[in-house]
Order: sequence, then structure tokens, then C-alpha cells
Amino acid sequence: MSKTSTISPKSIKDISKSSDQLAHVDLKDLPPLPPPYDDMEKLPGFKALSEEAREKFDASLDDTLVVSHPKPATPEEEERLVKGFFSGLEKLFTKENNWTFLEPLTMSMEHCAKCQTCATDCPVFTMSGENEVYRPTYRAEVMRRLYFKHVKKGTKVFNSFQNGGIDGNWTTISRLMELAYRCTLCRRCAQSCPIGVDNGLITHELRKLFSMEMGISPKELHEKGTVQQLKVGSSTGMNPVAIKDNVDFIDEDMTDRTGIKVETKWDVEGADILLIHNAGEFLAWPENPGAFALMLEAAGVSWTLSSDLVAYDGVNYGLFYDDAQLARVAARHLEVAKKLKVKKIVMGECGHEHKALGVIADRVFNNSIPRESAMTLMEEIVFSGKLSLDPSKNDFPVTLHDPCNITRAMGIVEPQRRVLRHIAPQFREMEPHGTRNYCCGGGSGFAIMSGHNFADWRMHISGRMKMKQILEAFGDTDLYSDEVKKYICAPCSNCKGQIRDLLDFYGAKTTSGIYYGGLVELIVNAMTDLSEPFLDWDMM
Amino acid sequence: MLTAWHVLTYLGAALFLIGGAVRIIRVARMPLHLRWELYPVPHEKGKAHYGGSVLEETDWWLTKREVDHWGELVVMLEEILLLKGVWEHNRSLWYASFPLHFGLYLLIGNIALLIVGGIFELSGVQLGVGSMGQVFSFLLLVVSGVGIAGGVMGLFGALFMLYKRLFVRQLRMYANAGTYLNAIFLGAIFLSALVVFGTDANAPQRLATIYAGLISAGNLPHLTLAMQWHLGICLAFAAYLPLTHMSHLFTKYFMYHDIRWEDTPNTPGGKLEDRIAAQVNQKVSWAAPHIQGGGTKTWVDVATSTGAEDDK
Ligand code: SF4
Ligand code: SF4
Ligand code: SF4
Repeated sequence: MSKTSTISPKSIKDISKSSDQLAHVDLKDLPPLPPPYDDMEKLPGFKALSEEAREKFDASLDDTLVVSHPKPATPEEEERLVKGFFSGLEKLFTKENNWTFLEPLTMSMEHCAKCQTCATDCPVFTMSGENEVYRPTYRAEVMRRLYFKHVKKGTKVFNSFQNGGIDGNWTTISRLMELAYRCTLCRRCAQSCPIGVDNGLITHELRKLFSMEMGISPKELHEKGTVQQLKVGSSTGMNPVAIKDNVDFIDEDMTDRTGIKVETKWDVEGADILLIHNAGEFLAWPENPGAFALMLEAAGVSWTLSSDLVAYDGVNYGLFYDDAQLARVAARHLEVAKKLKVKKIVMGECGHEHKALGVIADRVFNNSIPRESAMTLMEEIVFSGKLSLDPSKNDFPVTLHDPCNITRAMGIVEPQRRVLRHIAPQFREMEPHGTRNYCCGGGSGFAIMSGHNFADWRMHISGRMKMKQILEAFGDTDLYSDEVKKYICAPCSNCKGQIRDLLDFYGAKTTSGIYYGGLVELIVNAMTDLSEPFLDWDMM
Repeated sequence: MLTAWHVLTYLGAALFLIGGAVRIIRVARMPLHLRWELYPVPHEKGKAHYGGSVLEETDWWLTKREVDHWGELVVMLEEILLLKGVWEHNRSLWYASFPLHFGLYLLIGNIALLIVGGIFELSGVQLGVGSMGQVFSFLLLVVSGVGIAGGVMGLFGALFMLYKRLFVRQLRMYANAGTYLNAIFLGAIFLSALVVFGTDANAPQRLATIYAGLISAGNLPHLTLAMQWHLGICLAFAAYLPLTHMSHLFTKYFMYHDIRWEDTPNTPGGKLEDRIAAQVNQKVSWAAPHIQGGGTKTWVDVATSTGAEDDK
């Protein structure tokens, strides 16, 4: 089936009416990117979902699929699913099952004024050409109506008069299930709500309901994510032996490349710092943990990695969809830190690790080892004078992508900037930035999801705003030429994955010479001890 | 002598206060939630202006936590009085929303002024007589001005809002019967206020006497038809408001202070420890295969298992 023009729901209740697709985005209705990326004809298209996929899965929401839940085979199964949903909905509003978020959720359910002040702050909504289905309040409003109809005490007539009604049939529920995965949980919308309603949180809770009650979640987050991490040790699938092998190899490579002996420390009891990286780094961006090892050694820091199950992978996808999985993973991280008797855990360049371990876990476990951001540690080292740095080695245009989880959710804004201002003479901000940044479009686990044609959705829609910001940040350079190398500093694995995909998709490396990487790589690149540049543009 | 107006007023005020109290108590009794703050957090001393937090500091847990209450207050006031967020993010709606809210604040302020007027009256202060009498006269002058200003602003805001809710697509799509009723209700309050204060120069004085009668459960003077309407609508609205999303009047404080800006760290020996310990010992009934709470496992059980024990 190929749709010829944009389809957008006309009312809230449309979600309950069965149709092929509730929404469709026509590429020509998307806001254009700056040149030379403004001609949609010359950009990759948006692959249609296969007929088989539409046949097999509940795919009547929009153009893509994330959860990919098989269509119920029998009316009984459908009924069981609907029942499961409502039983989960009730549990979301009990203190035993959801003490974790009961207050913010209830407040967000009961106080929205439907003023739509939040709408234009959402990068997904605006960059979809304002398709109604992606409006921050659309899924929230469906959820709200279900809440008032099925959970909130009071007379049905008054509730429906005050809050509008909705039919909680399987069409509604299955679409809501997918719709819970069309928001990156970046919470930019929540910042602008005058009342304090948080539509990102509502999405988060919806995901939890599906996962914690019905066992429904994207396999990238659950089976291949938290389940694998708890079982094998890492969501990358690397067990402790594999990770050590891998790091040995990285150490060797670093030593060869820089002429400085790099040797990662493992399981050092009583070290000052337990550094926990997102294990994706070891596979996709080995120069990041390599650069950390080099920098820490050069600065004489007492540090260690852990080879204990789970503790060598800072990933915690539970943050995106399931409180139980979140707690399980965080528990392992904190346990190992205690066992090693370290002074603190330092969270590597990973936004959601920061949030999960840094603030969320704070109220799940008492007496935990304190956690500090790698941004802070890097700032401390750079300004300690322990490294000899020559900023002219970084004399190319550099911009900074702010991971929402580090800035908006934790207020860690300046350390990374102070470092960049110090070591990157051509540093320039994206606009807006800091706590008002835009998500990269890969948030809440999207960056690791590419099933069916979801990558196209991430590139064209959720990542569009970031792509626009990146191009604008380098707007003073010639974007038609790759001669001048430009660097996006993205101190977060998840964001890096999304930015890598964006640059590939739009061909921005070859067309405009735009590259990306973390923060520590720039620090090491500026070290005078290195005879050759650390950044190898040909390899990036 | 008690009249029906006495009874209705006490009832309306009681329902408003009880409704609000129920909301507030309900929120205040909710369990401690996980940290979910959103920066900028205005009580972060010296860092709020760029959205920073203490988490930027090396060994932040060793530094003394400084909370800038003044910073919070300023942001809260800007938000409540001026609707700053709407101004910044939804300018076209602000032109309706601001007068609507401000009109309401003025009328609420007027009630406070009239209560003072009632007390003057009960204490035997006579208009224009002596220095207190002068103050009383001035107060009633203010009441008249504020009443008219509130009525004009509010009516404009309510009508403009109604128009927007009806004709702006994305507002209409999310509106329901209650949304329109609320706008009409508010419009009626402002219109009746305007009639009371705009058509009757003696209204403030008469109202002060009415308030004196209501406060002391004493005799009431004759209520003009306009006053009867105004009072009736206001009382009905007061009883109705706590049942609607407009109860954010009571809960906004919590939504900002208790959620958006709630960043208290769980320090060893600190005040959060006991609450957390109690919460993680609650029984879970989530039914998914990896949890199977069944109302028997606690959060601690869940967190210390892998959820895949059955596979072994
Ligand atoms: S979430 Fe907030 S900003 Fe958005 S419509 Fe509701 S009240 Fe308005
Ligand atoms: S959390 Fe982010 S992506 Fe989700 S609705 Fe809000 S602004 Fe949009
Ligand atoms: S992926 Fe990065 S930018 Fe996007 S929500 Fe997560 S932290 Fe924010």
C-alpha cells in the first residue's frame, strides 16, 4: 500500500476507529532542511512497510513499526489483551505497584488545560509537518480519557463531560502501544508546560504498563537489551571474557597509535574511581574508552573498570520502559561498586546511564556509592594542569550536542562547555542548546532500533530537527565541500549512534565533511605528548 | 437572621475549601517518587540562570546543599501572575489566557478587600469619618476599580478563549463539553461582576455590608438582582472548580515544587532513607512473565532477582 498524501487524525476518537492507517507522513510535507539537503528528491526515501509486516503485525498507526506485536489470532486473545491493558492501567495508579511515579503521573493526568503550549517544543511533532498523531498531547489525551473512564473514581457522566470519552477497544490499545514508541522521552515539551504536565512521562508510563503487565516491549530494549545484559553481562552480548579481550585489543591499538603505553585496570579494589562505560563504545567507538584510559593514566588518576557481570556495561534500558528491569540493572552496578570499595562511580559518556544511575537509582537504593559525571571528571582533569594540552591541535569547527539526559534531566551543562571553550578554538553552540536542546531523535532507545523501516522514521522525522541544528551550527562554513572537517561532539553513546546514522543517511560526511565523536577524544587529540593527531578523519 | 444566601455562601466556600483540601492532601500523601526533576531548577544557587545543578561539581555529595528559596519564589510568581511560560511558548494564546487569569486574580483580590471592608463595617468604622473612615472610603474606591478592571479583563479573556477553543483547530480538537462550560462559567462571573460594579456606584458599600453580614452571620441588606446573579454564579463556580482540571490552582505548587524541582539527594542518614526502605518493601502485583509479582514479591525481591530464573 502506498499512500499519496499526508493523513492525520481529525479527532481524538479517530484512534478507536479501525482503518488501514491512522496517520501517514508524506515527505513533501516535511519542513525542509538547509541546503544542500533541501531537495527531497535527492535524499533517500521512506521505505514502505512490507505487506507481510502489515499482514502479521498491528500496524495501523502510521508508516512504521517498533513494538511489532502480532495481531491477535482469535477474539479471545484480543479480549485477553484488552483485559491485560486495563488491569495494567489500574496498577499504574496504585502506590504499591507504581510508587516510583504515582505522584507525577496522577498530576499529569488530571491537570492538562489542553492549551497546546507544549506542542511546538516537540521536535517530533514539528518536524513531522505537525502530524496530529505525534503531537505531545495526542497520546497523552487518549491515555487521559482512558484513565478518567476506567480508573478515576467518580460518576461516568461527569467524567466524560469534563474529560471526553473514548472507546478502549483493541484498535485504540494496539495503536497506543506503537504510539508509546514515537516519542523520545526527551521531555522538552514538559519544560514549556505552564502547569507542569509531563507528556514525556505519560509516554514512559504507558510503555511501563505494556511491559510490566503484559510483557510487551520492543525486543531491542527487552530480550536483546536488559534481559541479555542481566544474563550475559551486557546488552552488546559480550560476556566478561569477551570484554576483557576486546579491551586488551583496544589498549594495544592505543599504545601503537600514540606511542604511550595504555593499560586498562580491571577490578582494582579500593580504587578511587569505578568507571562504567556504555559497552557499546567498546564495539562501535573503541577510541572512546581507549582515550579515557590514556587520559586517566596520563593524569595519574586511580581508577578501574569492573569485569563483573553487568558492571562493565552502563547501559540501562530499563529507564525507557520498565521499572523492574531498571532496578535490577542499577542494583548490579551499585553492588559491584560496593564490592570494589571505590570512592565513587564515574558514569562514562552515556546520557541514559547518567540519568539511570545518577538520579533515578538514587531513590531505589539506600547507602549507595556516590556517582559523578564523566563531564565533571574531564573538566577537573583538563583544568588541573596535569595534561599538557595544545588547543591548536583542535583547530577545526566543533559544535556540541547536549544529551537531554545529561542537561535537561540532570543540569550538567557547563563542565563540557568549559572544556570545549578551552581546547577547541572554533567551538560554536547549536541553537537552542543546554537545557533547551533538541533531542538527537534517537532517544529512549530509538538509536538502537532499526527494525522494518523504523530507521527511515528516525532519519526523516525524529532526527530531522537535530540534522537541521547541526547544519545551522556549521552554517558559516561551506557545506557543499568536505574540505574543512567539522566535528560534532556528542558525549553520549546513544546520541552518537543516532548522529552516525543521520550523517550516513544524509551523506553529510562526504558532502559537507561533518564528523562526530565524543568529548574525551578531543581532549586526547589536544595532548602535546602525542606526536600524531589522535583523531583519524579517514577512520571516522 | 440567617438567609438562604448565608447558607449558600457557607456551602460554596466550604465545598471550595474542602475540594481544594482533598486535592492537596491527596497529593501530599502520595509516596515519594523517583527523581524526575527538569532543569533549570530555580533553587540551584548561582547555577539556575543557565540550568546548571550541583551535579556538575566534583564530589558534589561532599558540598553543602544550598537551596535558593527566593529563586523559586520569583519563578513561581512570574509563572502564576504573568503566565510567563505561555508568553514564551504560545504567545497568541497568552493574549486570551493572561487577561482571563489576571481578571480572576483581581476578582479574588476583591473578595479579600471586601472581607476587610466587612470587618471595618463590623468594627463600626463609618465611611469618611476619621482616619479609619478615610481608609474605608479609599478601600471601597479600590474595590470598585478592581472590580471593573477584573470584569473587563476577565470577560475579554473568557470570550477570546471561547472563540479560540471554538475556532482554532488544535484547541477545538482537544476541547470537550467541560472546556466550553468552563469558559462560559468564567465569562458569566466576569460579566456579572461588570454589571455589579459598572452600573451601581453604591455596589462596593453595599457589598461591604453584605460581607459584614456573611462574616458575622448577621443581617444582610437587600441584594440587587445583579448581585444575586453574581454571587450565585461565583458560588456555583467555587464548588465546581475543584472537580476539574482547574484545580491546578491548588496543585500547581506541588507540580513545580514537588516534582519538577524536587532534587533532594538520598544521602546516608538523610530524611529520605526510611521512606525509601518502606516503599521498596511493598508488594508488587505486576503480571508480566519477567516480574510475576502476584502480590507476594516485594520490590526488593524483584530488584535482586533477574526475572529469568524460570529459564534455568
Ligand atoms: S501538557 Fe501542558 S502545555 Fe501541553 S496542552 Fe496540557 S497544559 Fe497545555
Ligand atoms: S518528550 Fe520529547 S519527543 Fe516526546 S512528546 Fe515531549 S517533546 Fe516530543
Ligand atoms: S538520545 Fe541523546 S539526545 Fe536523544 S533523548 Fe537520549 S540523551 Fe537526549
